Amino acid sequence: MARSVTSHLSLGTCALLGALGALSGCSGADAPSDEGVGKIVYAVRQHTVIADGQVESIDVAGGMGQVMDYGRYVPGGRLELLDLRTGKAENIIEDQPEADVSSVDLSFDATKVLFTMKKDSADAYHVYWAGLTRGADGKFPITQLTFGPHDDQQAIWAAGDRIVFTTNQAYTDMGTRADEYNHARVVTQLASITLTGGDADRKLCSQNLSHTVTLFSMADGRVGFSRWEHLENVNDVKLMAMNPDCTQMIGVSGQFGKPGNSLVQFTESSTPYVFYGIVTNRENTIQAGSLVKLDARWVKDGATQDKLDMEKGSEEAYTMLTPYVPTGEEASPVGRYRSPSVLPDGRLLVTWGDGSVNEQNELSLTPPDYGVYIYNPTTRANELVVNHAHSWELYAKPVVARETPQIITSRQNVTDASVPALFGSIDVRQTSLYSRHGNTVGGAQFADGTPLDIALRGAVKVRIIEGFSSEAATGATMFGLTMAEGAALIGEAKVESDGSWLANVPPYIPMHLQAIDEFELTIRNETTWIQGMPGEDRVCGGCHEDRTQPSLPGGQAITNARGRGPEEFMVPVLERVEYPWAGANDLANPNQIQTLLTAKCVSCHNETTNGNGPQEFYTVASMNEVTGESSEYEIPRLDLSDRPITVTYDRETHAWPASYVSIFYPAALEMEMGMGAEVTGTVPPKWGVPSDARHSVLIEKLNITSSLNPASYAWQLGTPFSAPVAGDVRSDHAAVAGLTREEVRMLIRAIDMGGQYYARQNTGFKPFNNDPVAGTQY
Amino acid sequence: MTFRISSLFKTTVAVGTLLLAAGASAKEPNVHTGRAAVYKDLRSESLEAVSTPAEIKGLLASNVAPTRIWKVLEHGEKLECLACVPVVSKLLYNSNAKTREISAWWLRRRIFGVFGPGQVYEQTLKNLADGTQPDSTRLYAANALGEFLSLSGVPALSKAVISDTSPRVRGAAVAGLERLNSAGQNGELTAALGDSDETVRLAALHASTRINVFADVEAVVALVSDSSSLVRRRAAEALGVMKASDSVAGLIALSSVEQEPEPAVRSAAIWALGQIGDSAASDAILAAQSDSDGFVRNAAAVAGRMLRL
Repeated sequence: MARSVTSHLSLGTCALLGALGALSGCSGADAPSDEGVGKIVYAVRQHTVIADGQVESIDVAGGMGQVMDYGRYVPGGRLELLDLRTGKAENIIEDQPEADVSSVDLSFDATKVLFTMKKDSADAYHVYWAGLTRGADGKFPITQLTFGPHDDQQAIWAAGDRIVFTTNQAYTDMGTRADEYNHARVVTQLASITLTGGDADRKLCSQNLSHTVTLFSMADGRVGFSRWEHLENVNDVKLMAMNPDCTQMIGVSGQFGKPGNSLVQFTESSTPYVFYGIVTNRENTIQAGSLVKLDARWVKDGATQDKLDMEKGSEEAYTMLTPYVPTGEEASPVGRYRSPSVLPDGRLLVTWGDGSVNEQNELSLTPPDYGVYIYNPTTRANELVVNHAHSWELYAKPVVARETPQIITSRQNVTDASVPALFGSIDVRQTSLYSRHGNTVGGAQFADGTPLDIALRGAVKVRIIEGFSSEAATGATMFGLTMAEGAALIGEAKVESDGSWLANVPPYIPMHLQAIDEFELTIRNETTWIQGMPGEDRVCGGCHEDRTQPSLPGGQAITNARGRGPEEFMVPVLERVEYPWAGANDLANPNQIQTLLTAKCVSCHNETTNGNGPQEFYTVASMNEVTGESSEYEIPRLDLSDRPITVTYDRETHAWPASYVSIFYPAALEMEMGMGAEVTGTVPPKWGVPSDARHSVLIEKLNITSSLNPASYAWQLGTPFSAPVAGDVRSDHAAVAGLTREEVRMLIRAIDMGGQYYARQNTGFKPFNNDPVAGTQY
Repeated sequence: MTFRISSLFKTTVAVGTLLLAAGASAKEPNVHTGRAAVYKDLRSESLEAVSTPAEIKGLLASNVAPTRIWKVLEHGEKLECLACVPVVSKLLYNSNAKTREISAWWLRRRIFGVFGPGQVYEQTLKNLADGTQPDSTRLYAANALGEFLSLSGVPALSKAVISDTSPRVRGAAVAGLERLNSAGQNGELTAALGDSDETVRLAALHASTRINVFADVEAVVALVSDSSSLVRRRAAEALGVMKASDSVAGLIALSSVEQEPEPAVRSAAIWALGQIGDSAASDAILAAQSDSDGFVRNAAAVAGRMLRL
């Protein structure tokens, strides 16, 4: 039996509505006050399906295990318009008894509701809008805007009657791409349509490797969103923003500290750059968490400015509004919150569920009882608005007009993937990473603790790396002994004397940058994916410059790079530079690492010999507690051959070459990847640290000369190694082994790009047949 | 043979133990060890923590929620734990689809213990091929082979698509091929499009727009006259994604209420005609703008704009 608003009243309708105070203007008059909120609109999502009086099914966390999950469908949802004066709730989608609604937003003039709906189990989620007044036929007028065999969700209004949403429509050369960590779920990307055109004006934004969720409009005209950031070891959800035309995707908050792993379900208050949202663990909290206020405004000399400062840390920017709600995944003593929206008087309209709101709900098959409440940040009290039994009331919005954001004119209207995006910096040496965040660099020529802005003065190139997930390494079960995604080198752009660089790069795809020094080593590895639209100019100030300050070229009208023009890195996907470790499809692939090792290193570093002495081994053993059988495998200290590592386990052998395991396993072990195993013998130094050639002892041992001065070495000759290595002091071992500088660079790149074994060029990858963006037809 | 433990190893073990102790707490993992130096500049809450073997080995307990399983396995991505393999292998046959999926994901990332002779992968292949196994076992095996992402599974899945007696298994095998981005060893996806069972045809239609190299548009076009309205709908959608110009005539037929009683099918056909953009569809689209169903009219409005009508 559905509980209604009135059933919770002990003092009558107006008493409850009195709790809503100025919201309804309920003072005995029939009409709400001009400043009151007379109605709210929200989604009702089912979790318990009852048939013939019996519970047929209960879905606690299905489709909501992680904050970015989508696709949960339980029939019987509603889109309710609740009149706060009368308590009457109307179902806008009353003709869709099998529907589910996954997002709700209100137009700025408060006359239309935008929502995403799946009409039945055979349908997909699509974008709809409805008027809030019944038509002549007695029904709410509903218009469908998007169609097709993909899910369009999380729709919001943007200025100028644009609508922005997320979609799992697959496009670009990569075809279908699932998120590496949400597995078969295709990654959600941003897209936009117009109110009048619907899918006819559909525009797809650049891709990220992981999901985008929970969009919100911003007063400055941009669209804010939460984005799952999965780049090698980074695994969290941060806040981003972009122009409605998909350009200028940029961070808003979370890069430099936040009170929890994931920032989701944010909304902007009436004060620009002051937001309310949820901070929570990425998983196990049924997409709920602690309410937080984010003040992202720049503070200059103690005075708050009307400008965004994306670099504020956790303590500077965030205020926990519900301090007793955990930001992790543990059971909550006071329930958890979802999807806040801001009321005119500053209170928050929220969804709240009491109890643990975590896996304990799953174990007891008791869904959290999400209902709509008003949260008063001052009293920290929840005041009930509506809570039905057997369902969740979510995404509540007050039906009240709000200021329309600025219109940011669309400057990017091209959908041709052959038109490059322009990447670059005005001065790559400009950075806030040391001055504001204390980032330093150490290793090779840099003493430990070298400020990053000092180190960046040594940047001679910027390496541009494309990222891709497992679907692009067709037939490979993973990329190797690394947490890095697949990587291809788009190019290395020259840094001019004034610090500028400029390059034309493929649009739409996720990339990240590395500033490179004269020794080919990374000075700084960008740990965020960036992307650009066709024709978009994405020239930054520096290497993470302070965006509260102007970025000025050094004393001239245009930068040196702009003056000479961009370097051309528009390379077809199959021709991009990759470093497959072994098994390249093209036997003549010059970038296959094992070929180099076999030619130059194996004579001294093989199964029996390691340099001037015999090969040494350490053993990793593990007991199968179920069968009692033990298994062990011997890993050589440094065997650079393609000999398969032998695993003693029921006559098993494995195809992994000794070179790859030798180089990367020590770092993997240190990262606790060998937990539970008994290691005997001496574990070698970390020959290869994925994404960090500078601290990879293999590279230190080989050493490399400067591209600017052949007499200068990355590691000074004659100085002690950073780890126990044969020879005790650094030398030019590359020269001894007969490696050219370019060959050492190959190894550096392979490590700096992530230490993957697989790429596209040693697997079965074939580009997608069709390009739905450009409209190529079969 | 066990080597004498060196002082270096003892130090490593001691540190590892400390790290393990730190990492055992879900709240305060040491997430910087062994990682590139740049990650030291990021806070722990932004970085991936590593599950412990004990956590993984505990996943078969009866009081473990599905979301806990998913979390532990995701965070155990790079954990080489041979003793964990048998535990996770059992989860391949869990009734929860996401549990099965992430279990296969975890297993496929193992260097040791999964892909050798007689091990999990081979067992999964055998389960799929063994007609005496229950349908659900074979179905789950097909799911797993898809998620393993190893092309070694293509022959087995291809065979199952054609010859398994259960349509559920055949459909799962199609989904497995989709996940492997393969149209089948000998193009079995085309055969699946003509399967006698509706669910298999639907699975094949889903796969047709998601397998990079699939190009047998004619087989999809043939389904616009399928006896199942849902198949007709999915076929229309697929043809719209493919922008298959040869399908215009069939889609025009599907767009009219005289020939297609289901509004969802008409809507899909009209959307597809808009995607293809052939002016031959103009009259059909204009006619659909007067359809009795509101969502069909909406699709026609969109398609009309795309054809600039």
